[in-house]
Amino acid sequence: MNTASDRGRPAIILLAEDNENDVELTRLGFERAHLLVDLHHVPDGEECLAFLRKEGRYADAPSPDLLLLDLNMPRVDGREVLSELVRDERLQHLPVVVLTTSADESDVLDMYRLRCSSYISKPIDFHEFIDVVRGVSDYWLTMLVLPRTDGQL
Amino acid sequence: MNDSNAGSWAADSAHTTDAINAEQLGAILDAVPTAVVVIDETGRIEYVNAELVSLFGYPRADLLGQPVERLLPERFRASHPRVRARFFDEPNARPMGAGRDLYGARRDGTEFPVEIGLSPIAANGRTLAVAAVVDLTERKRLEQRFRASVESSPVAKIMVDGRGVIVLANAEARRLFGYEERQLVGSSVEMLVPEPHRAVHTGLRSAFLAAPSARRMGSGRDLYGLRRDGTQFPVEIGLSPVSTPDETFVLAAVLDLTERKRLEQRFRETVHSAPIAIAMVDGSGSIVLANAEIHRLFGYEADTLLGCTIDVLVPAPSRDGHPRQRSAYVAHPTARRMGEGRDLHGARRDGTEIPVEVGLNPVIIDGETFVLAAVVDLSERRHLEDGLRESNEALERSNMELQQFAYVASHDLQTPLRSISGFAQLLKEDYGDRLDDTADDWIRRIINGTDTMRTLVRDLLAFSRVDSQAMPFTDIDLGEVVDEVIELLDASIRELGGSVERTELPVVKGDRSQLMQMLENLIGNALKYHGDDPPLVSVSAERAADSWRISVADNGMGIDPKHHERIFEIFRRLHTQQDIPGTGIGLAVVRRVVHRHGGDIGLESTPGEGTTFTFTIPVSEGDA
Repeated sequence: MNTASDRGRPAIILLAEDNENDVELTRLGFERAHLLVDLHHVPDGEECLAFLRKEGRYADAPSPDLLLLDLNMPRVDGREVLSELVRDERLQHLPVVVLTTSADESDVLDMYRLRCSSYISKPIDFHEFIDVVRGVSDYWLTMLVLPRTDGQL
Repeated sequence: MNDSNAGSWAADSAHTTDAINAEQLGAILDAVPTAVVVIDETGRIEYVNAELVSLFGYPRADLLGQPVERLLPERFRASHPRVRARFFDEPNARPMGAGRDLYGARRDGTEFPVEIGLSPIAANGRTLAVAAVVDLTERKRLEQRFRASVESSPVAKIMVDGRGVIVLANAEARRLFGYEERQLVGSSVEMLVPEPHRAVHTGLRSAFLAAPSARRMGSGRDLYGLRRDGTQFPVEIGLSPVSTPDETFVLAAVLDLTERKRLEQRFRETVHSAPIAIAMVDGSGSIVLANAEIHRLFGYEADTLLGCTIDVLVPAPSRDGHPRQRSAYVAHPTARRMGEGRDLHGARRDGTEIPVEVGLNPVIIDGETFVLAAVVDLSERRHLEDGLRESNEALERSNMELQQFAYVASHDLQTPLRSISGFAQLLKEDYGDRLDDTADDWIRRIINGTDTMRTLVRDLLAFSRVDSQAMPFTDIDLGEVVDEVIELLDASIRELGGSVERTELPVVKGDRSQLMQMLENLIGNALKYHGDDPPLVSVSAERAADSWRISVADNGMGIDPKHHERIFEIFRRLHTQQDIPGTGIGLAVVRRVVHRHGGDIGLESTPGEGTTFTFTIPVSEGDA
């Protein structure tokens, strides 16, 4: 078994989100849920892909255990990030949780279903938001066996 | 028979024909079918033949030697000797009476019309008069009958003799020309012909008599009659010769065309002033009538189309086949639309084409079939149709954009709302105890405001979703949907101590999530607006002709009928946020969903007793 928690280090989470307030709320959400995570943030899809591919200024960036991907971002949006991930062998196994504003957006995810591990609607109420963050973390960071970044189990 | 009497004068003439003796001559005269009487200068009857005896009814003996006046009606007897004397003064063969009507009187006193031919003969130095008496009773009767039939004819009839003198003009002729009988009979027929034609008429009359046959007068020319008052009127005249042994008469039947011409004129005027293009063509396709509008429509100068073939108005590709189609139409003429189902075009003079609709009507005039074609220019209609379609599309587009806008707006409002709500909650939790009461109150108001706004955004999203996020219809079991709604609302049902029941509900075609949303709103409202008693809600179905009537009935506070119309309007509320919070969108969503499913919704309510909302939804085709 090689779960994130087993590794004895905080799970590395990359948050791709253009809204500063949502970034702060997400950060606070993990904090209030008493989850120790190594949260990195990129403001758009382009940066997100660069981070994941360790390109340019992200050459030394860590490999995330989980990607929290906002759908609506400027320049390269979440949908494009998903389709890029499908084509990238090194990133194929990265768990992705898509953050949506409402359930309606889930429909557009049909075409990415194979790649998109799950999606969550961001609740307006902060307490509900904390619950969601906790749920995501519990599920993805604790329960699942994550593929190791070096390819070993 | 009295042979001796016959012999007394016959013997005198025996010298002229030695072959026939007096006795034989008497037998010959007796065999003649004409009555013959011979008188002397004193008027004494010298001889009568057998026919005369039988015609007048006297025995021969009662006549011989008697005055000839015995054979006359009483009233002519006194003047007769004078007339007789004139004959003997100037004895020559001639008809008696010269134009007067003559009558004979029988032994029994009855009178009868006669014609008498007189011839003098010399005998033994005396002059005798031989009178041949023809009984005109039958001829007069026939003439009377002819006159009567002519007189009573509804057609004006005038009979003219060989010299052009009117001998007969019936009642209708007298009425038509405005004369009395005595003014017409005996006058020249030219008095009825207007001045310019009078001179020619005499010649034409002679020409007709030279080769008399029944025919129409004027052959194609417009004829006019002249009334006594000087006015003229259009006529049609039929001529037939009437021959008697003596003379050939001409019987003219005169038809007054005033009314026909007037109708024709009115028809022409109607056609000419009609706001649609009209042309009338004859059997060969020649345009015989074309109004101003058809000239305008096809770009021709006024009246230049007359005499042209109608084919010039047909666009070149169809022109060659048009004569054949025309013939086919004339063979089976019915009032119908031309080229049913096809797009027809007309060819304007400048070669451009216009979309047209053509109505065809057969018009039969004097046995000839004409076709009246009414042409409607569809350019404007097409133009309007295009315009209408474009504005419809624009409306649809803008409607779609509005729905999209409502959706995006309500959707995107959630992100800033989340920031406000989230940080307000954090502020309250982390700093609540470090601020004063006013700050705490304000933070509370911000949080309340965001709660209200969250509901509003959620409902608005639901409302715009009805159309913008619509799903294709599938078979939906309404019973299942209601059960799910009851489960969803379970917490508030328990809280209120109420209950929701349902009867058997049908399977319908619909959008599951929308039907669910609608029923959740209706049942939710029934619970929310409860009265003093715990809420009891029942959902039931009733089959109407082509649709189901689904009712959601409650025992709640009820709705005043004056509000029934408006409660379905969006943002329309009957309560303040303080009394009963809400967004005023729920019933708007309900109605929108019902409409999208092809139904309608209404309600019955008694304030204080309860409300029943009833919506219809079509019976799905499989169950119809």
